[in-house]
Amino acid sequence: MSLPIFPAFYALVSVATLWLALLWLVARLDSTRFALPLKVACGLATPLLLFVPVGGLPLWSSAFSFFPNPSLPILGMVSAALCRRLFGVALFKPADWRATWIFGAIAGSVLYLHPVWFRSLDLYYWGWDREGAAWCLAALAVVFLAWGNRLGVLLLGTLIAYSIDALESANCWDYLVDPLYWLISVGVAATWVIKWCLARRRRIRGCAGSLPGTAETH
Amino acid sequence: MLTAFFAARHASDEEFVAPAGIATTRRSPIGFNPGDTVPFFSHSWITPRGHTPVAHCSVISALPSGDLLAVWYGGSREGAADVALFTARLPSASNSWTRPVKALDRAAAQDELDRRIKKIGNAVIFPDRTGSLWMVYVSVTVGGWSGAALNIKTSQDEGRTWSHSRRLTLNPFLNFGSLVRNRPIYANDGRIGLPVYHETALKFPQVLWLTPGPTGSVREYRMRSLPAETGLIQPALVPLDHDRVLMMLRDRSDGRRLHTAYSNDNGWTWSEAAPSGLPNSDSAIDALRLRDGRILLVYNDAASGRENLRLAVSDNNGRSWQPGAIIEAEVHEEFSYPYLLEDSRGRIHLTYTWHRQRIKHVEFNLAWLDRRAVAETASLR
Repeated sequence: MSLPIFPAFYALVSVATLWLALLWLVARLDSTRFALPLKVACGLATPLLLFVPVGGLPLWSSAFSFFPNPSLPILGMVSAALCRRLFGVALFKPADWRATWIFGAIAGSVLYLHPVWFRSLDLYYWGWDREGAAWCLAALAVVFLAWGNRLGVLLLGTLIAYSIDALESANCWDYLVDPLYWLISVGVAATWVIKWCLARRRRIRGCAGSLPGTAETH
Repeated sequence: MLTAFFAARHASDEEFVAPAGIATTRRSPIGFNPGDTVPFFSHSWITPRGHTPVAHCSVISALPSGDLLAVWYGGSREGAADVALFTARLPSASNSWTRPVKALDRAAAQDELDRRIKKIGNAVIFPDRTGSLWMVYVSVTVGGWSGAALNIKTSQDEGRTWSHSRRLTLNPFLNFGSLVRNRPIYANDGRIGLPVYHETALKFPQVLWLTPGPTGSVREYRMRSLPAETGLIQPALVPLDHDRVLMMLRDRSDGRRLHTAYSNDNGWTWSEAAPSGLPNSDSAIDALRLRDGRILLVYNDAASGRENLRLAVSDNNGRSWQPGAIIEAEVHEEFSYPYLLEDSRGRIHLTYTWHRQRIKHVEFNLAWLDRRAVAETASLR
């Protein structure tokens, strides 16, 4: 049914994520701009660390024991962040990041939470319909590409990964969203909402404070 | 172009619709004698005394050679890291089971699946049409049984050796929550409908449709859930006539009634499950369609506890049940997880967990079943 290429995909996700994490950590430890040798050293350390045995298994196998199907958008976002850290190149504009987070929050909430409210509905089932799901993905990619948003590129990547069975899962929705991507997206979206609420409150207070007769007179 | 690409690479969407027909037990012609007329009953032990402190969840399968193969799990306790899957064989010309052989343990599963495995549990075995024997078993990476996932192994030599395990991704959230207990149904187009169930957060029955590939491989699989049936798990499927299938369900709710649902399209879609007239003590049941068209059920006849094991027979496709023989009854003991099989001679085999310590095998024929049913009915008058 599927070619056994998902270990290679998982290795790619592991390397990108750990390399990014190391770069982030190094930047935290030394806030000065770190040099190319340090970036390369982090890159070289990454594959070595991934083979550190944890509970009798290499670190990356242990990680994927708990997180079996990383989605393509999360690989895309990690790669974009890594590219920025390594080369200073911004593959994603702020609007692209926003769209990707919002998409993750909505898609994950619908996929993971719909059985709680709509007991007789099983949306995950439609992810087994290869052709229908592929058309759905293609349509989504076209919409975002036409809008000029690079989430469309990630969705196109998702479609390609799905067509070559890059994940252990045979269900299309697992290529599109995963629990980690969803939870982070919800966290990011919640932060935006809180910030927006706080800013609005400050604005309202500011307006109220500037109105005549509202200042304390006692 | 997109459609053509996916159609070329994968099975067509014919596998996305209900099966056109399903294999049912061949009904005997009128006047056919489905076995001996002299009542027959015997029992034997599949697990030797003290083999493992705990033995549970047995399943048997008839093999092309005429042998029977049993699988169960055993270890120091349910869910312990030392739990392993064992098999034993009842050769066709013998009355005693071979010594148990370890088929899989946690370490081997971890090695084969290349991921952390905390424990293994329930397993079922069943043949496909090409003669391959399939084993679907539960493994857990994190947490309790609600974190379970299903894996497949196949055998080309009637269970003597097994292929490497393959993990199935069946659920969206970290693939948590699928377990298995009962035998599958076989669609005429080759698909296998395996009844499974979900246990993470919401508990409900599911049917896993497997499309076999060459030599015991899985070409396609997809899951159909019945999420509205909350609290009902461990579905047992019984193929009936005219594309109908009966589903019988263990009840985890406070109602404690055995539930039934029906499908009119070979197990693809299901009616709402309704409580039957029988109690269920939140324990596994099994049901089997006999050659004479009746349905044989084995269950714990109590709303709580697993202190007895009883047979019941239905001659109207599960709408009502006549009480049958009590196979076991002992206060403060457990008799659970029964599994039924009718062999080519018409003999009925029943395996079950005995005191949580051993797996017991009971064999009887229809003559014994009917005589005991008459006796039970008389005793109730």
